[in-house]
Amino acid sequence: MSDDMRQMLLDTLLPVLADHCTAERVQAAEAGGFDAGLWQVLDELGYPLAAVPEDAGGIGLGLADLCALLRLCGQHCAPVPLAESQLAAWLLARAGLDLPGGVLTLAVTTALQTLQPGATGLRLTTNLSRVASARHADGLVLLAEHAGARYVVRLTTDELGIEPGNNLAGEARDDVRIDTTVPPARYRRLTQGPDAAELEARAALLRAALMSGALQRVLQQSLDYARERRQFGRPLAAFQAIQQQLAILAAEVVAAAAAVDHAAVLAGHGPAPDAIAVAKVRSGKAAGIACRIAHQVHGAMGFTQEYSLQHATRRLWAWRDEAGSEAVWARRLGQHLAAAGADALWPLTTGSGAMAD
Amino acid sequence: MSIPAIELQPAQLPPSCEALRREVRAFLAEELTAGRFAPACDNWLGGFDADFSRRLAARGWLGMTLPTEYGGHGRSALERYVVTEELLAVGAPVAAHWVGDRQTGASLLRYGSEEQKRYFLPRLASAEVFFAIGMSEPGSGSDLASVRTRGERVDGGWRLTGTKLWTSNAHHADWFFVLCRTAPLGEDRHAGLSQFIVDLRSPGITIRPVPILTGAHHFNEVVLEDVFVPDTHVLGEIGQGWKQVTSELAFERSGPERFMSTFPLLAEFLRVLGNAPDPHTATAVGELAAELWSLRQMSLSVAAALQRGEAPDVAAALVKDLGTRFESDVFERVRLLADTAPSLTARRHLDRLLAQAILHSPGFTLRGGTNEILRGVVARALGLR
Repeated sequence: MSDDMRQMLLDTLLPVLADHCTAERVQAAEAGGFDAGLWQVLDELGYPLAAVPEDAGGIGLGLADLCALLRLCGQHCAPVPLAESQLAAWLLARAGLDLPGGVLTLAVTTALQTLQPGATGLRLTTNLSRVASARHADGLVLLAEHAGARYVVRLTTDELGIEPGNNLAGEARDDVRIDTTVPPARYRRLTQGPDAAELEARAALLRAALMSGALQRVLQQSLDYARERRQFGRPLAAFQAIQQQLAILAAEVVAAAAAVDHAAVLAGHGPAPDAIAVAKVRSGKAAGIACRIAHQVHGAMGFTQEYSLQHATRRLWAWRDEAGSEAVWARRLGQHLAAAGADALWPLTTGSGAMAD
Repeated sequence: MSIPAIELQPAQLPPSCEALRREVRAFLAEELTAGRFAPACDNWLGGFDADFSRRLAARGWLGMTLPTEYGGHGRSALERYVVTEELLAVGAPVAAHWVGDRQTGASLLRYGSEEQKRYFLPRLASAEVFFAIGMSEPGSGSDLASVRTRGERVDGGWRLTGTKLWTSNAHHADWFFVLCRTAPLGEDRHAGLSQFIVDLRSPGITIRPVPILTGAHHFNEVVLEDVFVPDTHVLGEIGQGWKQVTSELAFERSGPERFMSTFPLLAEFLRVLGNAPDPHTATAVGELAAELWSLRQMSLSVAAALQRGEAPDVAAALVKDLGTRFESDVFERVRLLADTAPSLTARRHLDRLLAQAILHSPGFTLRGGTNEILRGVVARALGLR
């Protein structure tokens, strides 16, 4: 992917998001958790297939570029399951399965789903929790195992028993009951491709990229507000107490972006679970601090549904617990470091900046 | 929606750095095996060991970025970064050369006369002379432009009178850069300031220890009474001291010592912890590592920007604010996870490192610009002031 191409994709996306992700539209999407109009435009431009290789009909974006796109989506609080759809399409392509079009979603679980032999295909019986936009999806993709091998499976809407639910930001996170026999056309053995841990890590990276965008939005909105809002005859920005808090907020935003950027570059060259753990932990930490400061600076105004700060802050509060919270990823990283031993801490630290090639 | 002043470009160390890293690691392992130094927290302030600095110099690891014509090694800022972070990781006693290697050399190269460069830079790179900083005063801490040490024009040079404070290792160092007022305070308070290169053994200089919380002697009060400085030892231009000292601060603020002062404690904690900690402790270790690794990426980005010739002073201020807070987070987390009674005289290494970290910690968020001053720098870049 050339820099020009990457820039073109970003430049194209920006006005689309700016047009569609108005405060009113984002708020309106909460009722159903989805903005079909925005999806249609993104779909026409090919963004849901961004991660699919070009020879399979996609754009062939690597993870670093994908993260750059999703950062923009996060900034605009785009009410569409683009990250999930992109990852699902990528997984289907990896397995060599057909890409059906429409909205796809993805079930990410720490353990693989188990498939049983059936008369006309493979049987899947399971309950999935908090699947993004399952009620809007035309297909649900997941990773499963059967007879010691990994499979990618695509389920259709008629196979999904949906119990609707929402996250803190009003985004659809549905529980899904599945009891079906999947025909051979919709499953494929995965010879090369992600295992459950790798898929989980990718989902966490994309979530962290969305978060780093939402963090930038929270910073920008807080800066704007501090300059506009006057108290005691001065703008809030003139008060040192406010300046100090906003500088802390800015540092959190930069730290999260740095961790995400780094993980995205590394993960584009091979599995990078440690760097992704760092990205998710750092974004999650930044989210808590940034939301606290932003709301404090905005005063009661920011505490209302009418004012749009909440679209970004509620997403951050929701997203930090999705695809593995700080605790989940920090524990994995800590266990890895402890197992490697004290003498490995520094080499792993410097190695964390190195790429496989 | 981006804010260029605080944006960091992701940076990677070039592969050529890895051979250098291996050399430094091998050297440090050898030093440790031979018991030639005791690792400590914040040893870039507390560990003054001229012999150690000379052994580094002999390997070409001081004055690395200085041109070879001045006795330097013509290497990149990123190569120097590798050496400094390796030294910090083992808590090596690097205080003797730290100031000179970090900022004095860069300042001399930029503002020094040809004669000054020919004299000082080779001696800096060979660890024959050590430098201290002469910025703060009893009445001038964060408000550096308010310095009252004054320089008066005399035949052939200047006479300096005043008091410098918190001058780390002045009692061991050979020279320091003195920031002083050479013209009366006017409307532009940044005007009329100048820098002088002053021999710490000059007549008229009195150095008094100011022990820190550990009882150790690192800080000093340096009183200058009619100290003669020849014209040849003016740094840069008379009246340009503020601009010069500000560019010196960019080097002072941007290095890995701004988040690694307590790294030896974290490594030792992992040693005590063993390979299979409980989930709660593992989570804490992971959180600290995540912060450390993020800081290192940010710090590398700043170093790469310096290497490109940019002036990433805002980004450096932002990273230093985060980094110095992390240095304290390390001991605050470790003390609650380890069964410990921190003490400088404890038999267990972990307890000693913890004591060093705690008692040195007030300095972390003060030196080189307090965190409040740094946030002011960031706030200005954000358009808030």
